[in-house]
Amino acid sequence: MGLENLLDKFPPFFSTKIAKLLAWGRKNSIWPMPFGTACCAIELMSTLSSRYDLARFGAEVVRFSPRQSDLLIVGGRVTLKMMPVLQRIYLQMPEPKWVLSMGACASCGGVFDTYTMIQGVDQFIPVDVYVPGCPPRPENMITALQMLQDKIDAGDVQKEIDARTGIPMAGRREELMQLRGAGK
Amino acid sequence: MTDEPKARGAEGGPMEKKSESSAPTGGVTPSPQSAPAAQAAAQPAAATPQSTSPPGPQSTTPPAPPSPAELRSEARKRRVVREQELAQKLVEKAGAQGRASFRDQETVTIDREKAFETLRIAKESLGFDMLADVTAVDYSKLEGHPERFAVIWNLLSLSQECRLRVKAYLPEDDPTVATASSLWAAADWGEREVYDMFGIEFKGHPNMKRILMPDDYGSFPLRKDYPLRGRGERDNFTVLKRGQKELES
Amino acid sequence: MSDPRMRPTGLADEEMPLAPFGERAASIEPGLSEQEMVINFGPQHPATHGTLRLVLHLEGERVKRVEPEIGYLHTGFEKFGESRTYNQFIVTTDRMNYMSAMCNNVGYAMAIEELLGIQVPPRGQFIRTIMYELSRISDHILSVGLQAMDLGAFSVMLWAFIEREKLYDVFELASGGRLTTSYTRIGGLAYDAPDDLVPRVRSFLPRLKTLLTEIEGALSHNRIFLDRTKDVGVLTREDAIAFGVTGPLARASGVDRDLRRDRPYGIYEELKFDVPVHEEGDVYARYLQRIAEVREASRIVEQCLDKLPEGPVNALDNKVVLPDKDAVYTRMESLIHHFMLEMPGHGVKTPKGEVYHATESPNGELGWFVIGDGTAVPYRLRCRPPSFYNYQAIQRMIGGSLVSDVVSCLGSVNVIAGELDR
Repeated sequence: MGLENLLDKFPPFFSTKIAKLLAWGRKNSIWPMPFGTACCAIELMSTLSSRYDLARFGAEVVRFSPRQSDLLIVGGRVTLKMMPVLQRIYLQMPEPKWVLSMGACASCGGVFDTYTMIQGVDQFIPVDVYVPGCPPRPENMITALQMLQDKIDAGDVQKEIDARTGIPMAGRREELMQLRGAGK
Repeated sequence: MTDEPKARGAEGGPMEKKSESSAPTGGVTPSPQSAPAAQAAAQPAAATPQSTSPPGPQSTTPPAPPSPAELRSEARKRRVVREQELAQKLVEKAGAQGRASFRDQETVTIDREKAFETLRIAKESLGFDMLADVTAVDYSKLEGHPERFAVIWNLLSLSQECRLRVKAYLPEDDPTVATASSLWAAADWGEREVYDMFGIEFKGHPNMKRILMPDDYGSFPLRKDYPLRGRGERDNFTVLKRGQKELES
Repeated sequence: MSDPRMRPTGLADEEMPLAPFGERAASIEPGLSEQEMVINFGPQHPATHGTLRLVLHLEGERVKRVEPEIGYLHTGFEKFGESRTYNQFIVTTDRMNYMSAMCNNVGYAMAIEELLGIQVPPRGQFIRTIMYELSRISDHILSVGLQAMDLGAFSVMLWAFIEREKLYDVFELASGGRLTTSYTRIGGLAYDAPDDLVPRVRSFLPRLKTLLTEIEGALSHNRIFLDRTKDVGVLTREDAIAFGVTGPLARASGVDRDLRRDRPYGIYEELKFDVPVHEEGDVYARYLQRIAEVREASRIVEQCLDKLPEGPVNALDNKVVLPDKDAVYTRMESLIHHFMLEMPGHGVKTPKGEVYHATESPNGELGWFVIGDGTAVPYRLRCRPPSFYNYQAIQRMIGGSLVSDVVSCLGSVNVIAGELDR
């Protein structure tokens, strides 16, 4: 973001405040992408419904398009056939993105240690929050979202993105101009 | 809107022969004189098969009309008798190998070469218009069965409310049998699943491909020699790292 | 493909880049006429309820051919069942039709009890029936809610979810779990009904009537809903029989069959209920069918609540049902029976035989084909899933309709992927 390019020009306390502002904005508007396959999807729907309203925490806009969402909620059993689909969806999401592995089956294979079940999606996809339960109660999901919000708050998301993607932004303007000039 | 109970195919009066387990001819052991399982449990009167005694020469009062519970129990017995008769007719018409009965359910065992003909007779002459299920079993770990595989068709007759199981054994080295998809459209996917899980091919099937597993899966999972946890197929995926943009492959 | 207007990027066919991962992505295949397209619908899509995939061959907006692809949730339940004891498998049955988990629990337990030849006492059967019908209500109102949401009526789904939360409270009171209940055991139930179950269910039923009134007020005479569902996705009676379709789908197409009436199991013979049947076979008929079935199910629940007897809920068979804990701690025989049922290698031992038992689940005929081999673990456990055979008929329902009708149809079939793929 443009504001982050200027962060190194400001005095430190000010740039931390801006980083905190950005983190506040990001954590209170997490747009989930429900990748619901099985029973956990129904509990996710319950969490998004009137009684345990997840929209209170900002996760209201459920976009079924990966290009428009922040949080991939993997809810339900992921099988052999579905894993490539999950990987594609993950790669289509723009940064910053987080993954919440909902339920026992997505976290570790759950009850089913069989020939088609992936024993935990974190083997093949990076996961940020794990939610145990079969299916997790809506209160668990809300706690998980709050934990993710704390994680966003604690880390400097922009620095994380830099480290992950290798695209220099804040504090490295010369490098950036060079790369741009080189036609990257 | 229809009311219950609906007495289908009412034949004759309420006093008919009791249902008994017939002598087994296949590889299935029947239970000795099993009571109607899980049916009409609450009323003890329903368990008594016959309630009215034939009027003796002295009695002048007519026998009491049967209670609804008894009527239903009689309806159930008539249905069991109907199923037995239909199974016997199929055995005779199709030249089946044998017939077995367990818990009042009929299974007819046939040769696999005669499978299509038998199913056609069941559908057209005996009125089994719906195929409820087609499945298979791998009997390699169970004794008392002539071959390794068996395909089982679960037939249902809507008008007579009867069920029938037709079983055909298939040898291990050549597990093929004719398809039933020209008789019932339901067999299309059911047979694909049997192929997917057991490797049993149905000759003449329009689309003999896997249905539940990926197309290039190498094994047949429900065979008894395939381990529950698989042979590592579930661990063969690229590991995505944070910040990765594309699948490198 | 020579018309530049049809090629948004202005590239020739050979120059069109392949989709990032190669095979079978949305593409305009060379060799098709200008109007033909092959598009991929699913497996991750808001309108596919679960992991379903349809490859649609379109001509303009009309579907020429549809190839459904399933198996995205195949977990291997049948193979799993061959290595778990009968009571351990009950946990798995919840995860099949997860919208109405108690129906699967009860159906499976009844099949094993038929194999064993034991009877559940009347109180157990009545409670099972109450739970079964409440699960049926839960499944149907969610199905109608999701169907409405797909067509744009999002509020109906939220109303349905509020009432389902009340049902979840009831399920949690009885079994401890909201969604995956595992309430039955072979020979009876896991726990007896608590004292406030009956008042709780009685207080739910009037709310259900209010909900149905609201849903019907919103949808049944709604011009938009009617336009999108009348004469859409018609399944004729002959096709329904040929494809083995059962349940509300079949009854909406004129097949007058309900296992609870025609092959009664449990205590259904003592209850008075009607079986609604519609003739048109379109999406609207299926919607009306489900609403009517919810009404009948609530009638059944009321009758069961009135007639609920006292007594034990589990069969008095020491080889099948665990004895009470205080008996286990004080009496030797009970301890031995507990041991014989719990230790590995022991358990509920069935006779050698093959049994098929079917119940009328919310989606249709849920059948269990069980082969017992004398041990505590089934030799073969086959579930005849109603969604599998119902979903096969979608090829007949969709052919020739518009893409938006595909969404309408899919919502009405109520395919539960857990049951479809097992």
